[in-house]
Amino acid sequence: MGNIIKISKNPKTTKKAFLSSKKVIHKAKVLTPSDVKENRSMAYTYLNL
Amino acid sequence: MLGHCFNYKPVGKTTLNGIQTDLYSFKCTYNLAYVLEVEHHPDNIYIIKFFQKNHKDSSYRYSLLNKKSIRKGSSGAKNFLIILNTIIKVVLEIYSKNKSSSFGFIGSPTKDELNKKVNKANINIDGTVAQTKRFNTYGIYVKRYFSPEKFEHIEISTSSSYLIKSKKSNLKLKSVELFFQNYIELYC
Repeated sequence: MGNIIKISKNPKTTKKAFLSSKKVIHKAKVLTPSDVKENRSMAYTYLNL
Repeated sequence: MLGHCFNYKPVGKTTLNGIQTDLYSFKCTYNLAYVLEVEHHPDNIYIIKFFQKNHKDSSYRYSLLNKKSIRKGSSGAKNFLIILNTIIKVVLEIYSKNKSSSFGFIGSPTKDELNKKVNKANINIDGTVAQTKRFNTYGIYVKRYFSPEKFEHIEISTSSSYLIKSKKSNLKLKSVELFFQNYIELYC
């Protein structure tokens, strides 16, 4: 008899294993202070930390 | 200044997927209980997650939205804003104890955004979704309150990830990218 290969019957596990083998490079971007200011409503004030 | 918040309480600590996590609970305008998870990661990074307690057993708990019947005809926007204010209050509590703390989130996709028939262009092969509604909304929200003088705002729009990095933190951009890369591979 040949070797028994265990195959996960849980489709989620199979999907996760499949997805994790596909790598995507996600690039981060540091927003400049003006990027932050442009994308906010001036009606709010920054928290006093 | 932060607006109205719900009363929240710490409800314990746990270890989820090997990550030390603080748990908080609060009830919203519609009397629905929410669970807030604050994950502790190296380099003083805290990942913030929340979901409705009713959805705790669902694998989509971070993605689900309230039905119209629950919102009682309103848009739910005010309730949602108070939920975010409540979460920020917890964040501020952590930050007040450690000014090197940085806070991150991933804007979970809605079920529609996960649907390849309607959102194929934004769904990546690693399962992440670019520029989700939550990513955009939370991004606008944190820009309101976290001054760029004290925090660096770092966006990874392709995976809908965001980090509000304390300027007292020594984290480099490459380390932030690597952190989210590993986080997505291990926990998403």
